Amino acid sequence: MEITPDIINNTLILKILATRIDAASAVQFKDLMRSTTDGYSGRVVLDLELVEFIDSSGLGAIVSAYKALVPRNRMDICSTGEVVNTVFRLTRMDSIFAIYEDVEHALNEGELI
Amino acid sequence: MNWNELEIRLSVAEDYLSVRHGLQEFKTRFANGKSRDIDVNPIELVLAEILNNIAEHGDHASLPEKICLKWALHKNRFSAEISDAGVAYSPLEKIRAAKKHKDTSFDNLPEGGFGWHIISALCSDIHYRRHGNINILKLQIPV
Repeated sequence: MEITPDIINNTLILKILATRIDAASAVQFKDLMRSTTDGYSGRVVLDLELVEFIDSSGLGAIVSAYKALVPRNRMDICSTGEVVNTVFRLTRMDSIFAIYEDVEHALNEGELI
Repeated sequence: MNWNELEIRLSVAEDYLSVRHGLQEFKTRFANGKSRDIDVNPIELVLAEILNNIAEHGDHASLPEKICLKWALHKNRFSAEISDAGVAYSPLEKIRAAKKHKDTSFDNLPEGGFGWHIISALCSDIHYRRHGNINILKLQIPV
């Protein structure tokens, strides 16, 4: 797993280069998120375009990364697939995170999916 | 009814990588065995939650050496039986506890406990019993 950071319009876009965020990779994901966002103050968008599967441990790792941000920093999500949407919906985490269709919609803060 | 069977061997505590490999093998065999188009995603999600839960809740001494997964596909449901010789667990209590947590304020945002939410939302039936030192969990998922 890798995370590639990009800053566009004062937003830190983090593209997750992995097909799974699951129990086997949750710790690595949290560590990578911590090192990538350490000290950053501003909005963060997680680009999950490549993530085909996420389980509850992966979701917990995302929540943990969100809580570890500088207080009051926003974290939004974009480019989610079917499984990711299902997990966020069933756990009601879609009411915590704004989920956008893609990076462009996230940057424009357009309509949520 | 044709039941399929798969064994997942756990070599260390929290051996999530073996669970991941087991799920991959399950998906390959499920795809080869099914005669119609069925969305495997909810099934993989439920199995991942249960198998990881078993792998998580065994310390070195109580870690089950293997998890046995049996499954069958019916007209409109998927049935599975998951057995292991690890520590006893109580799915219905876990589901009740998961549903109780409704505080989603930032400070109280949970970082765990989502798994039983997902399982209970996707399964139509869940039955658990402890037989001797074996956990047996049976479930049904509508397809």
